[in-house]
Amino acid sequence: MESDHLMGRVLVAATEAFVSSDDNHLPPVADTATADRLAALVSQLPPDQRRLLRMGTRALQGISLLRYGRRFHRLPTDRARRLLQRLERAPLKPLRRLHRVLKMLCQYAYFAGEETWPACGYGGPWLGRIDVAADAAPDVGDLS
Amino acid sequence: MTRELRCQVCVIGSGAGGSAAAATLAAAGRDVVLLEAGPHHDPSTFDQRETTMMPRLFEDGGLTATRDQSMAVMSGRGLGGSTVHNTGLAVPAPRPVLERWAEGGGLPLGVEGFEAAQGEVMRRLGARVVDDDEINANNRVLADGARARGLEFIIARHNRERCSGCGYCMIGCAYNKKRNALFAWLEGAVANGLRIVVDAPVDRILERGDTTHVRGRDLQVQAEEVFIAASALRTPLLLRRSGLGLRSVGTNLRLHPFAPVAALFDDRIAAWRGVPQSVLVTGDARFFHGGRGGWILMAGAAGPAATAAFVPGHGRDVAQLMGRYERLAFGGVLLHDEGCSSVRGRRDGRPAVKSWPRGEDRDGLVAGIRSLAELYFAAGARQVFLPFTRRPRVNSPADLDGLERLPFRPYDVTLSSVHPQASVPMGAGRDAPVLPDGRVRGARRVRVADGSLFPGSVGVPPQVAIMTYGMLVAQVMLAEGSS
Ligand SMILES: Cc1cc2nc3c(=O)[nH]c(=O)nc-3n(C[C@H](O)[C@H](O)[C@H](O)COP(=O)(O)OP(=O)(O)OC[C@H]3O[C@@H](n4cnc5c(N)ncnc54)[C@H](O)[C@@H]3O)c2cc1C
Repeated sequence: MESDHLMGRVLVAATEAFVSSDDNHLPPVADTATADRLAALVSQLPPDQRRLLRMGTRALQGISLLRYGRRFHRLPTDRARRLLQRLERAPLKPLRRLHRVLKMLCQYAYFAGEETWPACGYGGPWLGRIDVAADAAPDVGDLS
Repeated sequence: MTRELRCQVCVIGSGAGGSAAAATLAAAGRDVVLLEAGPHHDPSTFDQRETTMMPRLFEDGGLTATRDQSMAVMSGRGLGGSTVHNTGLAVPAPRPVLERWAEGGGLPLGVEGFEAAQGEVMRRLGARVVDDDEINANNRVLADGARARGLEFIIARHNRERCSGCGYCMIGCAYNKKRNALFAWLEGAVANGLRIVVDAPVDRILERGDTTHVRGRDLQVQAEEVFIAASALRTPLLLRRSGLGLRSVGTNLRLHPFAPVAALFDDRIAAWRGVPQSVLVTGDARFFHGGRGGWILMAGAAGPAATAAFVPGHGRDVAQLMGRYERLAFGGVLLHDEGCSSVRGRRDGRPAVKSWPRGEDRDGLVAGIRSLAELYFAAGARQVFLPFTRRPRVNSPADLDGLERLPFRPYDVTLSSVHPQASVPMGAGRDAPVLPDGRVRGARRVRVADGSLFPGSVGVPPQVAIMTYGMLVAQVMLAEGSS
């Protein structure tokens, strides 16, 4: 759907604004599978929350257009970041809510990817790397 | 085609409370059917990745939140409920809390009876104090800081055996080391004849004459007695859908709101490895001594994604913090909340939770955040990261001045909850939705057997007290000989 595609671009732009910085070794969002992970997360959202998120990202596009004459996903990252910072402190509750939801989704999606883990010093799952003898699973019979 | 089953007792929900109730009834020879909405998770397929495990083990893929999305509220789905992904802390309810509950008729067998039963639950869980060499750096700094600040702390007991310390408890143990409800209750219960049906969400319960009908998707169960144990978020919804219980059902909810705090140290902490939560700082836990309110300071356990979701700031703040993920200690304030939250059903059947800490709860959280920040500085932290949007980072204890005056509206502070409880409390008063024998007021053969039953917030991680309620409510019914 066209609107989902646009929402995806807004979310990727927001992720860039939330996590990027000149002085660290994190990979650029575009070099990671963040967009796919965001799409998967959005598809797992309960329908009412998905609807709200779609409305919220549209509102963000509108606010950005009014303020900077460009839609949010076309803003330079530092401007996008400033806009998000303003939302965080907005007197209106729905704007602070939009900021919170975007921040959690975007930061979760970006750092869930193993592309980011080396820069965080996180070695990843043990499975396949470190052998641990598993105990037997409890026998709860046939559950049909 | 609708499948039909008959039994003496039908238990709905297989988490901490439901599995204890079902096992107690099956051990006494009752013919029991246990219905679980979610699937049976096969631990050999647990892959230690947040992106795959969160959607599998948690309700709404772990994305459940209060109605206004100001607070994440997580609970489990699947055989074993939230015990499959919990961190394995096995902490009995403290006596002063039980005494308070007993005053209102909220304990089935009084304080002594409940404590004896908690002892039995601890044995079932194989609960043991975490060994010294199992205390990871993330918990060690808590103990160091508590010592330096003169705050009492305990090394907690856990229900884990031969644990390798991989640290992925919260997204399911791939090695079967956590003695969750499947080990503690269900395996033995099945040997005693318990029948379990998974992927069987119950829609409503109808009382007709001497039988009670439990209706789900493609499934109908006729039982003499029904126990609801669908969790403190969903038991009230099922009661309401079924037209059972007082109007107050769902209005006494408590959440144990958790305020995350992180601290940067010079040395490597690797908070994600090892037993996640072994040190509990109880120095500010007034409820341990009979008072109102209070909180526990404890480690927070999380993989990189769940951690990052709560990291404050923008751009450089987030990048720097996650860039030093290895050197960060993660903890938080677990509040013994006194104020009521509430839960109702949405049109789509999911819970709509209303909650935001006010008054003494808000003051308690702010004081707890200050106390944990001071503790981390006392343990040698270089910087502490707070859950306030207006002051995400402090460099010394002096920077904590004026925390009490920061805005505390929804979204100004990051909070989450993993312990919903007390939504359908037990009590002797006419306004208590559940009678002291576990029966739902106004219903004849429907009882509650999960964390909903707590009269108030328990203050400590709740699985032991919930299992105890499940076991005792079943024992009370058996003693009545009513089935
Ligand atoms: C991340 C996390 C970590 C935790 N760590 C700890 C810890 O270390 N120590 C501790 O003591 N506690 C811990 N807890 C909390 C503890 O696990 C829960 O409080 C406890 O399991 C709740 O028990 P319950 O029986 O009330 O509900 P649950 O264990 O949540 O079980 C409810 C079950 O009912 C099922 N259900 C719901 N609706 C229906 C329906 N309509 N029909 C059929 N089935 C239904 C659900 O699928 C679920 O399986 C943790 C919780 C979380 C989320």
